[in-house]
This record gives sequence, C-alpha cells and structure tokens, in this order.
Amino acid sequence: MSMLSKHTHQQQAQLAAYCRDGETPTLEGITAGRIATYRRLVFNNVRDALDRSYPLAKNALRTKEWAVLVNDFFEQHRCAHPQIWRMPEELIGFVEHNQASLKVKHPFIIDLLTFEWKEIELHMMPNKSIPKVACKDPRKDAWVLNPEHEIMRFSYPVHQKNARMITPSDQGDYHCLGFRDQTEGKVHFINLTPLLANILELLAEAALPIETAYNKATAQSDVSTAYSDVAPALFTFYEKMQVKGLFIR
Amino acid sequence: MQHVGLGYRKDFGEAFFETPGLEPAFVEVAPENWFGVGGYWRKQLERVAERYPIYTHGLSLSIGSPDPLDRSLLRNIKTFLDDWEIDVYSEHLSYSQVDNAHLYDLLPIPFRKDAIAHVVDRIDQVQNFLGRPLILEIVSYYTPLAAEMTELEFINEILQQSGCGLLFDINNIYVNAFNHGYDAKAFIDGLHKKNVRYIHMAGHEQVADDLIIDTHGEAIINPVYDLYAYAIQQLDAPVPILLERDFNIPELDALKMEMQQLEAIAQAQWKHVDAE
Repeated sequence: MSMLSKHTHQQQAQLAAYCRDGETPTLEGITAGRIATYRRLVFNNVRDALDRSYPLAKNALRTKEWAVLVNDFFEQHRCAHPQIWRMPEELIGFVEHNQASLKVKHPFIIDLLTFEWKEIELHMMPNKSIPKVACKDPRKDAWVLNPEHEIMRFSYPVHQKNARMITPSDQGDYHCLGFRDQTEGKVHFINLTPLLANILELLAEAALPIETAYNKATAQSDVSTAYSDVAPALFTFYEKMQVKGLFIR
Repeated sequence: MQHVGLGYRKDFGEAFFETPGLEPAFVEVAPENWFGVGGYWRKQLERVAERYPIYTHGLSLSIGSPDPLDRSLLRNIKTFLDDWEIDVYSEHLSYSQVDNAHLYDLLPIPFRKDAIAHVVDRIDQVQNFLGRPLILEIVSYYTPLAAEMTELEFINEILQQSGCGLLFDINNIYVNAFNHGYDAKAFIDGLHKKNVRYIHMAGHEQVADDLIIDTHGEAIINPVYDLYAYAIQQLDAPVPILLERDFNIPELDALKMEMQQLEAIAQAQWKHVDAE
C-alpha cells in the first residue's frame, strides 16, 4: 500500500504527463514558466536517443517526417525500458502499430528500423559462451558458428541499398546475417542467399561439416545442385567468413 | 589522486587510458548503461576495473515515484554490483517514472510529509534488496511541486528517518540556490551533514537571467569551487569526491586539471586526517 496521498500522487503524475503530452496540468505551487524546462529536457533525452540509434531511418525520411514521428512517439508512447540505450527498440513496435500512413509511404521503414536496431543489439548483447573447437580438417570436420549472430529476413534490401533509393519494385525476400566478431567486438552484416540462410540456420542449431549442412539444407529446398559442384565456392565462402569471425576455430 | 574520482564516459575513448597523470582515485559508472552489456564495451569496463575501484550512480531507480519499485531493475543492478564487486551505489532523490513510462530525467518530488514516508519506506526496501547502503543525491530542480515544507526540511527529514547516505552535490546546491533565490551556504549550514558519504562536482549552464540548467557540460565555475571548499570544511572525515562531465567533453587534460584543483582543496582541508 503506497504511503503517498492521492493528491501527491496526482501532482507527480500530472507533471510527468505534461512532460510527455504538453497538456496544461493543474499543478500547485510551481514557478511560472519552469515546467516547460522539464518538458524540453525529457523530450531532448528521447529525441537524442532515437537520433543516435536510427541515423539511416532519420536520413531516409524527410526532416519533417522524422520530427513528427519522434514527436508522436514521445507524446503517445510510454517508454518501458529503464535503460535509455535500449528504449529506441520500442520505436519499431510503435511504428508497426501506430504509423499506418508512414508504413504506406515508406514500406521499408520497419525493415530499416529493425536493421539499425539489430546492429546496436548485436554490438551490446551479453557475451555468449564460445565453444572450444579443435578442427583439423576444415573440409570434413564440423564448423562451429559464432553464437553471437542473428539471421534476419527483410522484404526490402535495407542492408544493401541506401533507403532513399529503395522503390516498391525492390520488394522481395532478402536474408541478412549480422554477427559480432570475438576480437574487436565489431558487428558485420552480410547478404545471404536463401540457401546460405538455410545452411546457417542449421549451423546455429548444431555444428556440422560443410557437406552435411549443404545436403540437409538442399533437402529442405528446391535446390538440386550436387555438393561436388558447389564445394569449392562453398569452401571459399566458409574460409572467408572464418577470417571475419563468423566461425569459431 | 587520493580523494577525487571521475565519471567514466564511453566518449573518453582510449584517451582515458593514455592521458598521463589522469589517475582518478576511483571511477563512477551508471549501472543502467552497463548491465547486460557484452562485447567491446564489456572489455573496456574490464580494463577500467583492472585499474580503478568502481562506484555507481544509478539513473532509473525513481525512488520518489508513485509507481511500485521496479524489482526487475533492482535485480539487474544487484547482479551488476555483485559481479563487479562494487560497494558504492548512489542514486537521485527524485522521480523519473510514472504510469509505467520512463522520462529519463529527474523530476522533483513534492516536499510533503506523505512523500517523505513513501521515500523512507522505499529506501529501506532498496537497501534490504541490494544488501548495500543507498546514497541519495540532492538533485537540481527547476520548480517545486505542491510543496508543504522547504527543500531543506524535506531532505533532512528523509536523512534522519531513513539513515541513508547523502550525496552532497555541490553544483546542484549552487544551481538550486540560484534558481530559487536562497543562500547556498545557509542551505549547507542547515543540512544534516552527518549522512554525507559522497560529493559530486560538475559544471552547469546559465540559460536565462534567472535560470541555470544542470548540464554537466561545462567546466566547474569558481563560485562552485568556493562553495565546495566551504562545504568540505564542515565535514569531519574525508569522503570521495567525483568530477562529472557528461557533454561537451574536452581533452582529458582539462578534466585532469579540474580534478587536481578539487584534490588540492580536499587535501588542504583533510591533511590531518589523511596523515593518520
């Protein structure tokens, strides 16, 4: 049971509500003009966090569109994360559920926000335990995927193109892998074919030799090329990705 | 440095480790910026922790909020403090969350009797949960809200009833005295200083003839140094002192010079105690 009186509670809640929606509250004993300072400070915190997290989306929208979006979010959304750096993730759900016209005008917007947020999430995520692996023969032994990764599916190529250049005709099925390397903690993104996405999803479940992963993945798809035909290219891809830190050796 | 620490900011980059003579007595971080974080930034914090003791200054506890205490946040903070073997946890005597909405800023708690009882009860809950004493900061505020007593009466009553630590933020006292037209030294004289466990020092920005904003974005000004010297004269024993700089971060040599100035004043004041 709260020890606060209803009156005190209401005064606190009204000041907080005013900070978010700007509706004139009935507050007691305040210094004239000063509550606007709080509203400005709170707004700046939210706007700065969104601006920092979504530079590509901010750039893809017209200046006024972004400003209106940030303002709508600020006034209508209740920020749930106590960690301000995590709060911008909430913009994605807000746009999904409250910004129908923005989604029509910029159909890539959810994909773009998600892509930008995933970069932050991958960069900041807690360390996962990295398995120790002894791989003697890379052509035959199992390959272990770096667990600090995420496979994403997009309807627009937000990971490949400047969003301002994306047109409705770009709509399709895109696969993208993001991962954090173990040495420097940098986040890398690569575009994936559907087959590579399948292979990596299998590797995310269990370490597999290249051939086994390929055969399992093709069995689930309509790809009928024999492993022997793709083995050199596939091996080169694995080796290249290992250098970047996608595989643990 | 013997007494003076520095608020560690990600923006310091490698200069934090490479600036000669920048050797704070400790560093302070906000748990909310670091718990649940891995990768590059975890490695950086490990490097910091290898060199310096870590103190913490939380952001989102919202001790004065009408909302219930956020147990999930408290669990995360406790895990962070335990994992990094941190004893010092400080926060703000303010509220920043209402109706399940975080504002990420420090709103003024009404200076009222029921708010005192509410805060004292929650201080007790937080201390029990974390297994550590809570140190609360006197915050800058730009307007009182529904007050039925003075700020000084409000703070003293909380300190006496709860026994919690006081974070003596000298810049905030200066800012508040300016913004609300009272005498900062008289405020310090009247404060229940037995509970002082920690001092914060920072710069601010005057944005109008009658308004200063507590930005932590400028160097400390001379009147705040004077107030600091006045304040520590009234403390019986040394307490840690922190320099905060959150925005407009200069070369770290400039921060080092501010820290040296704070250190010199502290050592002059506490030389007898320090020698023991």
